[in-house]
Amino acid sequence: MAWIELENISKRFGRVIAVDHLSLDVKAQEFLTLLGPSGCGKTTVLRIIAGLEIPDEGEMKVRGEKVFSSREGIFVPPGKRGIGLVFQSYALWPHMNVFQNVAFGLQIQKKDPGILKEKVITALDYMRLQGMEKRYPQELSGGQQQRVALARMLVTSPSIFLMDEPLSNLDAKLRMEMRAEIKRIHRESGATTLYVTHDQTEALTLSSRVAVMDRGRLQQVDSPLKIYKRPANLFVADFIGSPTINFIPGKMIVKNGKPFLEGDHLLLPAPPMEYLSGKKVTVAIRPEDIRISKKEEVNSISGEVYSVLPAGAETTVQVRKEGLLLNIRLVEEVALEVGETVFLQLSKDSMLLYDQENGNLLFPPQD
Amino acid sequence: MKRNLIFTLTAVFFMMNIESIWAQVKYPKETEEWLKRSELGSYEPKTIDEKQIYEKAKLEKEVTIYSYSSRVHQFGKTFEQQYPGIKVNGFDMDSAEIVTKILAEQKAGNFVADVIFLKDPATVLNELMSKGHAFTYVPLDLKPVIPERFQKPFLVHHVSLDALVYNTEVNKQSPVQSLWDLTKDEWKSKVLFPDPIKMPEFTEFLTTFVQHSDEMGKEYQRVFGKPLSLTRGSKNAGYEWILRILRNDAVIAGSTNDVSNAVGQPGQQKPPVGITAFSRLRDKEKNPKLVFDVAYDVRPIMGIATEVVIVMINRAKHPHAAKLLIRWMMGDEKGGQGYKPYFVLGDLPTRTDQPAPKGSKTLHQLNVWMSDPKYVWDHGQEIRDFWLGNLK
Amino acid sequence: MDVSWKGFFRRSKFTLSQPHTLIGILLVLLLTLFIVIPFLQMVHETMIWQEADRRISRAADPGAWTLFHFKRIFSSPLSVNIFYRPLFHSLTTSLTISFLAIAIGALMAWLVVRTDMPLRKTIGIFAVIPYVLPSYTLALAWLDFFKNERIGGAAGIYQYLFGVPTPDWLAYGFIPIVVTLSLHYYPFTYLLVSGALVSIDSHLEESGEVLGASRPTILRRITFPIVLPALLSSFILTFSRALGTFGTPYFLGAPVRYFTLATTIYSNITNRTPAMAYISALVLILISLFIIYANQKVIGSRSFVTIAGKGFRHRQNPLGKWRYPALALVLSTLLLAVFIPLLLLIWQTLMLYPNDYSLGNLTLHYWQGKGNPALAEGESGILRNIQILGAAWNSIKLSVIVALMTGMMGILIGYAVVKGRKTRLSSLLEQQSFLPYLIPSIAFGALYLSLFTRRIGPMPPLYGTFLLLVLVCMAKNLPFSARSGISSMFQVAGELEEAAAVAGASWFRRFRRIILPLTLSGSVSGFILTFIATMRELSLIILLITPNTRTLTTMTFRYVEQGYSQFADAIIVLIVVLVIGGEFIARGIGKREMI
Repeated sequence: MAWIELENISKRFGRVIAVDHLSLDVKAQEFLTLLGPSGCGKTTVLRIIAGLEIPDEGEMKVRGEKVFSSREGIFVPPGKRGIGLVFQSYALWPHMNVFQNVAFGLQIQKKDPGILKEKVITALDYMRLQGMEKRYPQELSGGQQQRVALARMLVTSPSIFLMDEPLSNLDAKLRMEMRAEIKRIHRESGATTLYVTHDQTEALTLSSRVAVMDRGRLQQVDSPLKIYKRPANLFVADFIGSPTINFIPGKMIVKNGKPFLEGDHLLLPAPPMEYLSGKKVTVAIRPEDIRISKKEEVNSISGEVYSVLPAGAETTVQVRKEGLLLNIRLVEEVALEVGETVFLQLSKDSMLLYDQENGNLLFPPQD
Repeated sequence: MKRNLIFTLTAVFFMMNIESIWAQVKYPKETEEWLKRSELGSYEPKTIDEKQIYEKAKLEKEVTIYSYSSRVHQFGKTFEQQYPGIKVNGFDMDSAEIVTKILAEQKAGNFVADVIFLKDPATVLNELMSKGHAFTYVPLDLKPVIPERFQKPFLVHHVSLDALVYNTEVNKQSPVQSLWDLTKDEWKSKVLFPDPIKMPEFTEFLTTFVQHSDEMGKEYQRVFGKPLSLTRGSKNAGYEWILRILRNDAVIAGSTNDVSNAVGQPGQQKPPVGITAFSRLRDKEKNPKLVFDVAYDVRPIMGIATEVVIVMINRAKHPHAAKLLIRWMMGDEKGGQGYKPYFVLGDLPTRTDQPAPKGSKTLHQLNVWMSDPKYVWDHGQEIRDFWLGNLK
Repeated sequence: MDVSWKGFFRRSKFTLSQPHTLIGILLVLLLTLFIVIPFLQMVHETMIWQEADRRISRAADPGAWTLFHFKRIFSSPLSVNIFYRPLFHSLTTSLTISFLAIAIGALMAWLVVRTDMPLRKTIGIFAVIPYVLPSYTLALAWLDFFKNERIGGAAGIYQYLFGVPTPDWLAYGFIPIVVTLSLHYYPFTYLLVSGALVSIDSHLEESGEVLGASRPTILRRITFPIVLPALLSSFILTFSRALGTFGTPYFLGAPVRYFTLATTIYSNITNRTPAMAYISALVLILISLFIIYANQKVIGSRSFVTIAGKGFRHRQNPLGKWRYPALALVLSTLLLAVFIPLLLLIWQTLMLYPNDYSLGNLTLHYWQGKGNPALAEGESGILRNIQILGAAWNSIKLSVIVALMTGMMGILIGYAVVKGRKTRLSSLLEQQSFLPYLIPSIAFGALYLSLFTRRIGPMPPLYGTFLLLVLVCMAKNLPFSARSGISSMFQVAGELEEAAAVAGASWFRRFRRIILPLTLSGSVSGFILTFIATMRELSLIILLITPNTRTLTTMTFRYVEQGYSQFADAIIVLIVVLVIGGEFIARGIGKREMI
């Protein structure tokens, strides 16, 4: 039984369809990230799960119990769903100090004052905020405010953690630290975590599964690795990966009995998809799967170096070929100059083929 | 003698017209019952028994009066001393406000006022009494000493005059002999005139001049030696006078108090004259420094007299106390204390058994025109419109 | 999408069960009754014959439809004098007053909040006082100084000092009206702009400085645009108030026949021919709507700068050599607008006989005297005068209750509007709460008089009750408190409330523990303004008061009319003391200082 089940959920704001007939199952104790560009509906989905938005249509179950059904007119309010929520802005109440902020939920639950105090102190200690009880949110740094928000979420021991881009306001170093922190919290609590972000690195490093969304619809729900290696459509392929994946549009042809991609002034050996001869496809290949050589080799593509961007351990080289700008990632140091002619080898085993019309993955085939 | 004749004829003329308005009106049931309970109108007993009324009034415990004059507090106090056990709630406000409130109270069924005392006879007659919102009450034992014309259609407490005043420090006697002098160059921008738009009671003043336009025309002839030629749009001599006053840059004042202060301040080299309430002469008692007086001998008329009336309100909660109060206000059978606050320079009592207040003359000795409520009701707005149309 | 009826009902059930929707519906109903219906009544009455019209026209048939009133106002021989010229005067004075008042108020706000001008804290406290004093106090002071022989009496001080009579255009009419009312109304701008300035993070200006912009440029291109919404709101507020003012323009204009439309409105209502007044009021409303429309175009849909809940850093702009000149400027403004009139007022309360300013004429009679029949008809001095003390109690009661309830309503409206953002209910509510801005007070009072003297459904006639006064004052002040409620709610009614919802708090708890505390501090200035406005309220309630519900201002009016200036002035001093006291108490209770 999935911990959270969403079935055919739709939500509209005026004319804009924010969530479009979305169905999703969140497994118990998994760390699922909703990933996508701004406006894709991921935050709306999170808020729907929290109970802060009422869908126009659909059903939702938590732990097997219906918390929402448009057909039956069921709606369980947020406070009764056993969830904890961290907002992007932390939403710490400025007129209450740290202790009061964290204690609020327990006060609602009418916990005995002694137990309440104990739980709050424990939560604050857990988040390394000892001694901060009397401070006010305005007096804390961004990282400290974040930890208070997390403590507030944890203190009532909910079985579901919801987090809406909690790290986006932090600097890079702090973000790395907090990511580890969040992962630790997730593991130690055994809760089911639903995380929203537009940062794919975060999504890929934290999650057990990633749900990629675009314009209110789920594009793909898979493990991070699968998402990375086998994006289900052009959108996902493009969205995931930094630097972005390379797209080469063209047409499948058969030459000398072998499949090739005929592109703009180029011919690439393609994976065995002879049956697609004549079809318009887009080849996608990761930057790390392209080799650069200064010498021409068989089946290589020639191009001109456009930019060289060294970044510590690796270097990104951009090479221009006619209308294409290809990203190549190199681990070793290279002596390349802008304007230099180079030759690229694209391994056909690393290629992904997408149908140009509907964007879906053609090769390797979905299983 | 001639003046008195004119005065009496005017009064009779006016009285005759009033009678026709005071026709039989049918009242709703509650009002009839109230009239019966209060022993008013056709239910009034044939003799008056002060003690009996007092007993009934004591049960009512209080009486509420809306008064245009703030002296209500004075006669309120003396009433309470005379008739212990009855409290007087006296409230003073503008005549226009009194009418507005009465209309609202009657409509809402929230009867607060028992008696009203105000200076707008035309409205009282045409908007209140004719609609059954107010009734007159004349204490029986006072009827012999009040002229008939001051009993019907309503009880007139005293007569208020509006007249011309001048500064006595600079002028030994009135610098103005005729009202038409005010239209001459020498008085340009030097005549203070109360704003009839802001103070509706001055409509009476203007209207009466229009009503007596013949006399105004004759006076013009006397002063200028030729007949009056009317400006276009001006219907008669009365209108013409108003027009010329306006064109002569009469300075518009917001209150009678402003006028008397402006005219009466000492130390002026070229003080103005002004039209104001005769009762403002009282200001001299409050402020001995003021130096002004009324121009008694101005022609064709010294002033315009308006009746100040007392009526009882339909379905008043304390009718017997109200009766007692009215009687007290009129000075009861002895001409006593209740009337005292008005026994002052500037107000003219209607009772024939009272002498004129010190320094004043009786109504009959003064050369005034009485304002005619019916005429005012019928023509007042037209005259105000004339004023409005000729303001610039 | 489930488009069946069943689906619709179910969705409606969800929407309706939301607290903010329920509140919204309730508020819309209330406002319809107390604001929209009076407005419609006003329009209705312009088109039917009234009882009092029988005096004006033989054709009058009370109750029947007619265009008579329109013709009389717009196309009769009287129209120029009763409408067009007064309208022109009203517009020119109000526009000029608004611009001047904004200039004064904004400059003062900036100097007090964002510079290092000396004494600025003290000045901040006194800056609002001009609005507390009735505007005719300033008018009186002006005339005392500038009057000439035209209105008789003793010569004005200027003439006395310089021996030359002042010209009429200086003593009466446009110039004194504009000067006195600008000084009277600038506190609106002061409050709104200082509120906006307080909430600007100085980082915004500092980034301009880093980029090399000079101070004037920063002011012009960074500070000013941010403050613009507050400026425009003050413009509307000032303009609509100035348009509806009767007292001072009459007082200063009548001697030279400079009348404004407010006079037409006022005289028609007291004369019980309200149709003419209502048409004039409708014209003024249309003009105000036009101004507001232009306002919206300039700054878009948000017309208020949000008041932040977080503490921002404020850096003061050093004035350098301008410190003392600025102080001098401000002090002289306050001198003119506050201290001199106040002094004059107090002096006048101590004068035995009016108009005599000599020392020999001083007395405490009007304050604590027992009552001398020769003076003021024997009324006791105000500290002993039961009537006056009773009225004082009524004034305080009314002002406090109205300020509290209007503030509360403002918060509720803010909540319903912000949470229901983009729904039709929300915009309807917002527009309804705005309507009273536009209706002149005396017209509004007259409408309440005609509407609530009869039963409406189960509700008995409210005429004569204290409740009616509370309702009419609330309705009139609602626009301001609704706007400030909406803008403070923008901060709070989002994630801060949702966090509490997620923690399991019921609606009441969320409201009590999160929303209310956070919006309250932003409401302090609204409370103060409403308190002051109600203490001073006259034209709105004068038709509705009964002897038991008299307030200080209505008594003052009466005393002035009768020439008992000492009483009137003493009452005004009393009002000022009460208001300043109220201001201090309110500041103490509110956590945040707005100024």
